[in-house]
Amino acid sequence: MKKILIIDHSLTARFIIRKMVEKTGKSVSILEASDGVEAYSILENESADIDLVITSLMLSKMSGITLLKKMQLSESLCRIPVILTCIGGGREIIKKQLSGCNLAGFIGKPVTYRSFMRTAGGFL
Amino acid sequence: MIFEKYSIDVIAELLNKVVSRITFDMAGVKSILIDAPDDFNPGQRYYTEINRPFRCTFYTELSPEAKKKIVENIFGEKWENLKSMQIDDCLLEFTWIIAARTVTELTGKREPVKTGFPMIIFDEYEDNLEITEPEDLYRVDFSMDGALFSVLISSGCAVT
Repeated sequence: MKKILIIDHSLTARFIIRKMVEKTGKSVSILEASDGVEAYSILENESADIDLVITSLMLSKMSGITLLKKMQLSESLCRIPVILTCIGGGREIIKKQLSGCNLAGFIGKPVTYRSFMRTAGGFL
Repeated sequence: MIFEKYSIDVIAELLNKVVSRITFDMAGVKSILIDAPDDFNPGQRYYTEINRPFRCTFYTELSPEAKKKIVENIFGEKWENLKSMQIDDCLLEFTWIIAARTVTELTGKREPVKTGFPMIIFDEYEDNLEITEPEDLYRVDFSMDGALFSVLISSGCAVT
């Protein structure tokens, strides 16, 4: 069974992504975090099992950008693909900021099933 | 300043497109532009401050019917079964997405949009606070299948 970590300050945003995952009908275990520090703690404890991270850029305590950069520095976490959920502007600038990180793509908010599947479908 | 960079006509046209799309994508209901009655005053205001690429604040004022429609459709649960935390979070996220998406579209998606976390301003009765209206508040009213809500924009920081 695949395991994914969904990170967003908004419980609604996490709920919407969880619904998308469930809609695929695939057997996926879902972990959730509401800020960057909580997410990093889960990642450190579960690194061997997590197959995908879907995170918002805008997180409290530790931003999405910092989280990805920290993951990049960790031998066990740098292999995990990360999808960013964001509003959509300045993706090229964000990609440059995150060069070297395992950035697997972007999903624009609000997340729709079509946009979710286009970016995340192949990882489930 | 948003109103120095973009005309009201440009903002209004874009807001109509963006808000209609967002209510459809999030809640499965398209919204249309209307003129809300003069006495439309839901009390609470949700807001998001935009910090880059320019400063402005987006507010939403939602009728009880609009709140119910958005929240029930997103969570797939009856209003009575939802926790206050879910309702507030949902409407804050809705407001934040409208703000950030509108600014993103205005700038042609070229620049990252920096925002604050969305917040709620309670009305005078509920919070014993007087809401001071920003000087340049621009309002657009919408209907989602008869459920009224407004999106308001001001060029400065939120005034509470």
